[in-house]
Amino acid sequence: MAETKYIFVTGGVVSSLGKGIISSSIGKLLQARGYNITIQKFDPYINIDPGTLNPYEHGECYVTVDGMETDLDLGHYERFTGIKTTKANSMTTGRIYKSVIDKERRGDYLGKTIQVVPHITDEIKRNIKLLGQKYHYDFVITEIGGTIGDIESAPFLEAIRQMKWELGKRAINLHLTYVPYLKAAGELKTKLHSTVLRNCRVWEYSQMYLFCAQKSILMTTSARRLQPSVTSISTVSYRVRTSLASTMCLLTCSIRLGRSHFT
Amino acid sequence: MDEAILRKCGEQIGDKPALGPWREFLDRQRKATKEVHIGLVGKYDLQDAYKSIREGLLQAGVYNDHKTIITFINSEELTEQNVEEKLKGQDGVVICPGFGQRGIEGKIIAAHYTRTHNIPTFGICLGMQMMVIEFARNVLGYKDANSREIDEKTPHNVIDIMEEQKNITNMGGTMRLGAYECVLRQGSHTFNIYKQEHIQERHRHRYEFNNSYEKEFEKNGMMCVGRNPESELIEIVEIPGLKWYIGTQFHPEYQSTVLHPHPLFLDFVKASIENQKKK
Repeated sequence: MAETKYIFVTGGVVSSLGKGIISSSIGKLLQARGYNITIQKFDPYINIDPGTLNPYEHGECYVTVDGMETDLDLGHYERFTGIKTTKANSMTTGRIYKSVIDKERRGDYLGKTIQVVPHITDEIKRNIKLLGQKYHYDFVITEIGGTIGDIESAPFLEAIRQMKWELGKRAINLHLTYVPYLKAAGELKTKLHSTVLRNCRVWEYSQMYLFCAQKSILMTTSARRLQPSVTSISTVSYRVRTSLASTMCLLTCSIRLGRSHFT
Repeated sequence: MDEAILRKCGEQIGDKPALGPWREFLDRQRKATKEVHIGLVGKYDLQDAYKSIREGLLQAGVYNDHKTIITFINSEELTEQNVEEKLKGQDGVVICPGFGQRGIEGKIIAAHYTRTHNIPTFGICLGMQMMVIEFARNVLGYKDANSREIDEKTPHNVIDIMEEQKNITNMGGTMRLGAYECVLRQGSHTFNIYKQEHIQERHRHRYEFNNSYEKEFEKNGMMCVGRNPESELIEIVEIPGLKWYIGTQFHPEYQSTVLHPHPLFLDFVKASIENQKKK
């Protein structure tokens, strides 16, 4: 494959939807098809790295071979795909800002006013592309931490929006959302997702959706209700559990459902 | 899913991937019905806090055709009175990594109990340091033995701050981090598990085993069988007479993957299963 392609994975409504597992599964599946891939995580918090974060707040701190303290999702990436991650696979808002501020102090911007757009977003874009350019991967999967609609993640979404504009077919995004099942009403609720969708439109952010529901199969009626509002849907639904067992199930499930339900 | 992505990107879809070893793993996981019980002694009562260790144990369970049942045991609640009850039913015990004072006495109590009752025990990072302190207190007889991290003035600082860490004031990103080489002593339990002399493992720590106590430890039965070839830093301790009593300063869990489970985890779970059978 000639040029690197970029897959962005984001989440809406709530965190802990399993973005890390989805990114890893997709990585694994593409890898199994013979593509050369890597996965990176961009976290919107201001900490330089999660090394100083309390495990109560952020779970385990994962350490890469080259000594970077990173998000625990990098552990999933390595366990699933067997790739060795490095410093470059983990990025935070803190490091992006630090690098921009350092450049400003050095005078690299030649007296310009430094702004979120374009300076921060350009720095994000540069970092997203870094691994792909250096090692000529076929696919670079970029997971964005947090949820869409947070103030913190706005610069990242703007960067993705621009990249999609620049790269066309070479950039796609997957969005995970939460479709809760209300037992009392006996149905899946789609309103939460519609709200997220409105947010997504602002960022021209609608290409492929992964729906995540509590019930193992997303009912077709609900799926239809969601369908008109997006360009294409893949109704892969799964239950979120953290145990290894279910992550394996997920992989097989995403193979099976992805094939039959994709419209 | 992958097909959908390839189509979106305008790529050829091609043949379905085989994923052979993965399916095999899943199969084995499904078929494993016998259980092995592992107690996780730590202070963070949150699933994700010891994610890699949990995953490492689960993988090792599958490769031993067993289902790993992990029980979290809060080290803050462990006392000499209740340790027996709390660890009851565990075939093996992992003493978890951590930082700071909170919950460490519980880890020492757990290490003491498992050592004296010959239960397979795996100490990682701070867990290994607690094994060392326990040994110093109860075998070497230094009742006040401690780590400099916890008691700065202890006369028997069996765990000491690393030389290069002494002048560091910033907390972020300044620990000894990443992969370092470790040389194993031929013939040791750990060497027999790895089946090689030179290994690379990942680290994250500020404190280390105090080498001036090495001879005394070895004389009394706790062997220092792994060390960094450059800094002489002691990476692994073990007690050969016991079923499985190994502590590692590094974090082996970071390198355990689905298709390549870590040898230490594999062997630890195996020993735990054997321990269960003998009960």
